Amino acid sequence: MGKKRAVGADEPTTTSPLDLKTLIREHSLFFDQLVELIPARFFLPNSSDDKPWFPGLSKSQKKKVKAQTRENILKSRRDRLYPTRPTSTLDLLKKSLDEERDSSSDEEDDEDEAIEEEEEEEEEDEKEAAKAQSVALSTDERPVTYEELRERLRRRIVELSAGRNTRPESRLKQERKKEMKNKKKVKVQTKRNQENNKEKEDASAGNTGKRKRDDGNDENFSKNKKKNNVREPTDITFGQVRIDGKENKKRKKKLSKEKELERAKRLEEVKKDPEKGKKVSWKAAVSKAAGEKVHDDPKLLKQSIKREKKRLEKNKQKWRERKETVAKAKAEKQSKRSENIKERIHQKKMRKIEKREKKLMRPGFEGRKEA
Amino acid sequence: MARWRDRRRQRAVVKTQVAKNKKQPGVDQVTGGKIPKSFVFARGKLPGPLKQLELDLRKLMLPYTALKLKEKKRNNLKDFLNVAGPMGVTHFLMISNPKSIPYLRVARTPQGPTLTFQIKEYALAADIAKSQPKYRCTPELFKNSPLIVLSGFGGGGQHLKLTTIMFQNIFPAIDINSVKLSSCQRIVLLNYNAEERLIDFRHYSIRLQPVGVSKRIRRIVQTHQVPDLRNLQDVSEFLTKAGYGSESEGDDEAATVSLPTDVDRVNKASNKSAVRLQEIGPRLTLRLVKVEEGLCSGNVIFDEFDTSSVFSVEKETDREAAEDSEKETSEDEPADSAED
Repeated sequence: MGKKRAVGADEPTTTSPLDLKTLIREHSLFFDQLVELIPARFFLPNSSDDKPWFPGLSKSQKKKVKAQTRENILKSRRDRLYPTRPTSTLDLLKKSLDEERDSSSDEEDDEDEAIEEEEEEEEEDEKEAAKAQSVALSTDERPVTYEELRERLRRRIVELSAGRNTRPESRLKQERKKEMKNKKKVKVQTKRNQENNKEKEDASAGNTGKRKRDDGNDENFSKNKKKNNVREPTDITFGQVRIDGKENKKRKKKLSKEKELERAKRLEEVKKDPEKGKKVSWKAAVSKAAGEKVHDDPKLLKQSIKREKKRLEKNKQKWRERKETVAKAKAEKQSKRSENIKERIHQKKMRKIEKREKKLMRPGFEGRKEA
Repeated sequence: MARWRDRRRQRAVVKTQVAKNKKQPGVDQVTGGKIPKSFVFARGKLPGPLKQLELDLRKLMLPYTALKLKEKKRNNLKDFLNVAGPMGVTHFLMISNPKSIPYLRVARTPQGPTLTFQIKEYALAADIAKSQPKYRCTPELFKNSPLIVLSGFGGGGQHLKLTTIMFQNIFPAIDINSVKLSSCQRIVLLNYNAEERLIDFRHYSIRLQPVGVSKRIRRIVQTHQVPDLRNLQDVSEFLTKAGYGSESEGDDEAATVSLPTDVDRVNKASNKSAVRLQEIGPRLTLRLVKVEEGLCSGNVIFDEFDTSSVFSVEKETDREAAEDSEKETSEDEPADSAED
């Protein structure tokens, strides 16, 4: 028992080279961790131009310096999030050391420097790996490139989506969900597909196609998946769409009502005939459904002719009455006027006679002598 | 005494409030065409689900329809016609249930043709709502009229052509130059199944979602809710964590569009957005049974079940095929002779 001693029991006294190396390594790791805890701006010796002194500068200088600080802030922010640039204290320290060494020894070969830098990088990587293990932040390595990240994301998605359907209890629900989604998607897909075909075909009636949703979809048609259980329709029509401002179709000549009546009567005769009548009926029905007014019912036309006649008659009557009343009023006024004039003249005369007679109405006077 | 006077004053106030309601425009400001308006009502007594279907159809036809149309038992078609004239109503959608078979009749008001569809199957909006985990149906959706897409109707036959024209004109026209993308929020799909001669009628709501944006970021932008960063060590993890991407990310490649204008805060111009349709509203399977020339009157120019009539389906298509082939041969000949 006494003979069996732990190898590392005499650590402080036995200093074999291997143990020393591990010792040193452990210590250096510990110090690195400590250094990492300190933010870079406190630990590293700062250069003189890091501290901007605003009050002593002129306006333009201040502007420049402020722009510089803004840029520095942006740069540091970007560096913090960029996965490969060194931003931890340790890295910056290493960087500053490298710079010093470069500036001090200019005569050295580039290869040597490169080799040294490589060695430095390897050591750095090892240190980082060791650090990561010792700190146990996460099991992943520090992400190296953006592409790798993307790859991992894609792999993870595939993994999860593959693994998702393996649970039998939730299978039915998901199937139903997928079916509904598929149906919708198929409808949308087939709609897009057929829109494209339609533009090439340029066929059916009433189609003033909706183009605004088709932009940029032509590339996707090659990737279109066809579902077996849905037959693709050969044509798609949309609702009414106005494209330009000029919608005025050529106006049909407006026939007078009598002519329309005759035309309608003729059409009725034609309708009795099975062949042509069918065509005529369908044509009329289609234009009626589209909103255009089709005058092909003789009864209604007769009614409307009658209505118009009555309206004209009524207007004539009104005019006559008006003329009459105007004339009557005129005559009345005239007669009243002439009467008033006559009356006035008469009154004048009477007044004169009275005046004359008044002179001879003296008391005791019997009357005028008739001489 | 005072109370009675107050009540009279109250009634007067209510009247003015009612009169303030804006009248619906009869003519579209932008396109200059007449806006088609519709009445959806029932003829005869309907069982419960059909009544609900009628209400769903009314909701579908919003905003250019009378949502609270009250019909009484003694109202005839003539009464509706008399009201329709001054109000500018152009279409009638009538649901009836003679001999327990539900029919839907679509007619154009003054003298127009009437298309009679037999409703083979239907699903109410409430059923569809319950069958979906995330059913989104806001009243805002119904502030603009829906778009309409018809597919499979070009197959031939005058009746199909008439059906397309009829449905195209039920909803108002869109002016491409001045329409706002955010106002196209609903869509009605009609699909014709030529083998079974059935028309599928579906009603969806349209939603645009930006593509290429991760779900978390999209959620933050759309709903301003602060995300839960409890389990994360760093903000960058929130942005780059794989999570699980949306199931339909890969399939949507064909259904993405690049928008010409900004639609809302999230979907910006010339960015790719995915078009997501969610079904709302009733689902119908219809079969065209009869086409009449007048409003529920007049000649029957198309009859599905009457094989003896001259205007039946098979004979029509056969004759048209024969006519077309004749036309082709006759066209070829003069063309050849012209070349010579």
